[in-house]
Amino acid sequence: MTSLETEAMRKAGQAISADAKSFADTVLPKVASLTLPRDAFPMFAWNLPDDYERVRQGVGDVAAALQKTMDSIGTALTTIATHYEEQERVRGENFTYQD
Amino acid sequence: MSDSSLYSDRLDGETTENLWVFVGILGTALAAAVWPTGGGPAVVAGLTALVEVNIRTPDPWDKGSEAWNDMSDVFEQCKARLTRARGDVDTYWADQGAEAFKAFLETRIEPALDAIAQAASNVRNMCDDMWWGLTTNLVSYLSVTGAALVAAGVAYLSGPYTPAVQWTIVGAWAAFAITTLTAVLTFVQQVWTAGR
Repeated sequence: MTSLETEAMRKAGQAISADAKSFADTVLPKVASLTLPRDAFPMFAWNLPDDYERVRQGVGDVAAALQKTMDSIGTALTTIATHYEEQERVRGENFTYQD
Repeated sequence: MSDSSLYSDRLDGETTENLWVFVGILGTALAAAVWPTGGGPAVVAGLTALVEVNIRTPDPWDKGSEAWNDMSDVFEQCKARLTRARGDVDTYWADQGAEAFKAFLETRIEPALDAIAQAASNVRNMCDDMWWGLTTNLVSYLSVTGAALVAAGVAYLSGPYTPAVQWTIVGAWAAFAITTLTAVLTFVQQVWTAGR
């Protein structure tokens, strides 16, 4: 147990890591599956399949980048929380706190 | 054919192929009904072919609209969670690292989530428009062709074949079919270009 308020940071780290995981597990595969073949478009809309695919890929790329970043942030927050707790523990061992 | 979750060759609902068969039957019937005009069947055949290449099942667009709507929600919820986490941490953590962390979330991550949430909801609107366009096309084609068939039948029953009357029917049908097709697809094109 620590006297520092690291609980919120730890929770935030876990929440962000969980989001990163759900991006990797469900969001990215879902975006990848939202393709529409040329056959789905009427002939008069000959120029739209490429548009659609560009937007879909764009969303997929940004989501993939966010997934990596959120994964790092989540881990970092947890690490920082641990760091502060560890610092206090080490200092606590060296000296006794006043009541 | 593809690994798309929206489109497959074995859709449960009305497939594009079924619609084509239906349009083909109607076209053949109308061509037969205006046979005495001589050139009428050719006009009907040409237009039917044009309609066929522009008729697609609206099914995938309906599914697409729903899927992209869900995506947009997921991104928005993720952003809301991040904003809350940032606020919670900010209350207790105050050093240079905290500032850098806050700024990074605020200026990089959250705007990116906003952007893809917006993009996903734009695609949802595009899917809605395409669904509307395809459905309107199909419905108006079917109703106008049905009406032309009835008119041709009535003309046939009410007396001897008069090519002029039959031509009027073919003409009205063709004009309407072309106008609807063009109007609907021009509209969809415009919306898509604007939404890009």
